[in-house]
Amino acid sequence: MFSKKFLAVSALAVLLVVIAACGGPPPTPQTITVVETVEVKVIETVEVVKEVEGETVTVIETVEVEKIVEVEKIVEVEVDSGNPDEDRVVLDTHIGSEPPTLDPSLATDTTSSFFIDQIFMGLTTFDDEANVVPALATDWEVSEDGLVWTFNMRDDVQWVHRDPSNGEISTVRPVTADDVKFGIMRTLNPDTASDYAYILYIMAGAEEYNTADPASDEFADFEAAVGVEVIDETTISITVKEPAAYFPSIVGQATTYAQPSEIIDLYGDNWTEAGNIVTNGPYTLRDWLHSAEIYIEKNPEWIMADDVQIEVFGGPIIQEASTAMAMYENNELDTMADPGWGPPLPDMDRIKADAQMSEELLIAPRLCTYYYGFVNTKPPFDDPVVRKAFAAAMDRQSLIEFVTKGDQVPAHSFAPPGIYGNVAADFSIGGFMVEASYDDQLAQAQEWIAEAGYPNGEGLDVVLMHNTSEAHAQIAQAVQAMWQEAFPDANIDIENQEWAVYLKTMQPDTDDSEKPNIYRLGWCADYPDANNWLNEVFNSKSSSNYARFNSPEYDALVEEAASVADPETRAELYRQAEQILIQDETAIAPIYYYTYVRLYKPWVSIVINPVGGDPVWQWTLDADAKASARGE
Amino acid sequence: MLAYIIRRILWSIPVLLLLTLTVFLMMRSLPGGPFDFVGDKSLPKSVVENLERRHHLDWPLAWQFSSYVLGDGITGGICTGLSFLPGCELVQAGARIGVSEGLIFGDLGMALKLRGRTVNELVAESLPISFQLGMVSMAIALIIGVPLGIMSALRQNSWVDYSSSFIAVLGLSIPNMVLGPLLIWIFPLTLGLFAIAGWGARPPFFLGFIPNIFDWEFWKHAILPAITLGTAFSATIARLTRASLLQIIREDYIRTARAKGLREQIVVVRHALKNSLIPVITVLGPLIVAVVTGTFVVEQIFGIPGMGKHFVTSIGNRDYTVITSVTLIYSVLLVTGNLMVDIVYGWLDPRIRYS
Repeated sequence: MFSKKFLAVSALAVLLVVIAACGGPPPTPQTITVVETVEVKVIETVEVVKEVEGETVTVIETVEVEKIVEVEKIVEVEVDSGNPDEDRVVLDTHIGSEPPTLDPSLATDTTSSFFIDQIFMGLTTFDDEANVVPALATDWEVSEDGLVWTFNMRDDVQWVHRDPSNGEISTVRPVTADDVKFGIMRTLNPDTASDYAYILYIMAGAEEYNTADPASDEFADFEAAVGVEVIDETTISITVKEPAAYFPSIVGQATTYAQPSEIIDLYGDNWTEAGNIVTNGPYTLRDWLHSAEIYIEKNPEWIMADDVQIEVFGGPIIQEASTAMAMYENNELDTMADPGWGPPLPDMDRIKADAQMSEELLIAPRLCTYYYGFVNTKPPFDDPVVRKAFAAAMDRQSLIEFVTKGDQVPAHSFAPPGIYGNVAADFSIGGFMVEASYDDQLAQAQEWIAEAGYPNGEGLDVVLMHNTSEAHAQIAQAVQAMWQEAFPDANIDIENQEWAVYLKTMQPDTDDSEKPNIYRLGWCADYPDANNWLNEVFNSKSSSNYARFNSPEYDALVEEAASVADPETRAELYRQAEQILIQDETAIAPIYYYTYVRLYKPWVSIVINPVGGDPVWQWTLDADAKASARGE
Repeated sequence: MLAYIIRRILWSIPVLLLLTLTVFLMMRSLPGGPFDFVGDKSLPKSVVENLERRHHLDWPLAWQFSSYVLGDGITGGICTGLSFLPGCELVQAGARIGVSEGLIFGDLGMALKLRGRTVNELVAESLPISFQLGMVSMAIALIIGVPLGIMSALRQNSWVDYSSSFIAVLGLSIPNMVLGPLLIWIFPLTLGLFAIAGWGARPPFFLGFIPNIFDWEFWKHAILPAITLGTAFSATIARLTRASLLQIIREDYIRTARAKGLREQIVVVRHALKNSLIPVITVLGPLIVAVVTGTFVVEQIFGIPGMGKHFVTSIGNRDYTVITSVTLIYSVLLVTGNLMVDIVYGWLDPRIRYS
């Protein structure tokens, strides 16, 4: 009896060991299996049916034919299993979320855009002061009527491919104007269903093509009518439907990036996987183990490759900021700097108090504004005086100091500093929201609310709504307390809804009875021009106009500003627009301009572009200091 | 027995189909859709229309369901044959864009938010990792839970019993989101043991699921999250084992076994424990299934690329295909788990027969 059981158990144990051993990695040196297409000579026997002329007899003849056939062959390739990064400059970071895509036509979020900007190049890009500067394009000119933009391109930018079997990066072919046209057309193709296609609607025929029914007969005509024309290999001209002075910043958007048509045709949706993708930026994709980690590697063939010091960049995808923070403090990460995720809020006080970490903290302006909008059509907020009172009764400085803690800047305009046409320096607009003394501001607010017929807030029933999130809830509670203090007799309620429901509630066409009086939202720049702010958000025709702000005068101003070419005139028009939006009508109450809050180890030195994001290729890392800090 | 198993499997098919339909309809009855927003922004109508057409969301619901279950091929075929049916013009216009081969052919459709990725890919890369974490956690739960339960039952009302109840209550009541960071602080940060986050095993896996268990990298990453998950389950298992063993040990046949002079060990292990495990096994089936399909909080804290996050984020994202498909996978495993439990019953208690 003993032996039987023992046998069974030991057999099971042996089986487990075998299973485990099979599951193990192959012994060093590692071999990996690669499917290779090779040409093979084949001798084939073909039966030929010959009909002899004039006769009814059919003769069958056998002929041997020699031909070359492509056959897929599985080859085992040896890979050096030693650490490939041993002698390289590696920057270890964490990534705050799995990028939904690395396809320039489809990216919408900060993580995807971050990586796309490292591995691809646009015609233009932005410098650290948010100016448009040449990238793939060397220079550009616009026709006299302001409608045709011609971009001259570099001829020395190469598409590169990284071979995963040996890690070699090799050039494929030069980037041409055709690739740029292909990228734009692919973004606009309704079948691609690009979220940000609408940013390109300024191009002639773009909107018509993007909204055409692909099954219709006229579809090809719409495609042909899009105003993008390849002049020669390195020249492309783009016709716009009306003069748009901000157009050079549009062609710095990922949706216009050059794309490799042959690779996209070959791999379809999977063309952005490591091993398939070809890229043209300072880096190329090395590994993308979905939801687990991403690494990019220096592109040695890039135009300014000699200036690129960091050779490998990447790390694990970790959504929990406090976990990433632990890794950072343990010297496993060099940065705590995911575009969307800074250090966790509860750690901010500790970081600021710590002598070492406060040195590592970097706070930089970011082109986003956090604001509370008023539903302008819903009483009592259909009265601008009520709106002004509520906008004034917010102590923005205290809110930043005690709640958001990221050294944000109190806001008194919609477009933040750094956006072309912003009025953040002009305190005649919205100055009543950011007085030096909050007591003055408060007194003014109380005066306004009495003027509107609600002394001490008596008779006011206000609902403030935010989308469900701990951070928004904290801000809402602080603001509620400020309002309650200013208007003691008002009844102020906070409600929250889950994000998708919230947006449905806030849609301009939802009935006002379902809406709150006040909602929270943020807006971040797609390109650094006030058109992206004042026109695309609060034009009465915009689908983002949740405030239901409707001023024909305002619409006329922002529409005119979009079409005139003279920079001075445009700036003045945007100033007048902000004057109406914030000072006269107070359709919204801006709260603060965002900042990037990040931590960098002392051995990393960085450059941040407020619009272009993070040009990692301009960063440097002191590898010796890093190694000694890690005790290596 | 075999007939019973086959009957159970056949019965589960309509159940699963009904469940798919329910999840499908419930998700679509939520306000808002997957393409109403990107980040903090809402999208123009024209762009939303393109996106909806791309994913067949412009079709009438019945046709969308048909496309999900039967695939675009069969759905298009039905419409060609019965073109008078309502909505068929849309189906025929959209058939040009393939979205799904159909559930019945094993295609779970395309994810809506992770652009260009199929749900099959998402499941294939995340389920094995959740499975590995779940199995290690269950092993820990059993190794701690069963002996703890036995000891407290055998020494009822002694200090062993009290201290094991204390441990069990503690294990149950410390939430994962506290225990996880606490373990990170104690082990990797203070003692320099184990990894803070990430997962040590990477594909390809043996049989698609089993990692190399002789690789320290695997354990370095797996131990802390597995302990975090396992302690709560071990407490449940300990309490159940104790309660059921206490009851069994008073039965007549245990007295008989003792009376005929069997060693206490044999009495306990062979006669009492085996019978007292039935309630434990009953909860264990669904518990294992729940834990191998991913646990959001632990995956989040330890940065593990498992399947748990798809259950949570896809609802907020209104990612219809992902939530329907992961729920379906969970249900298939649950049905299988319950079937296994029923089979094990027969082995634990020979009086249980299936015919």
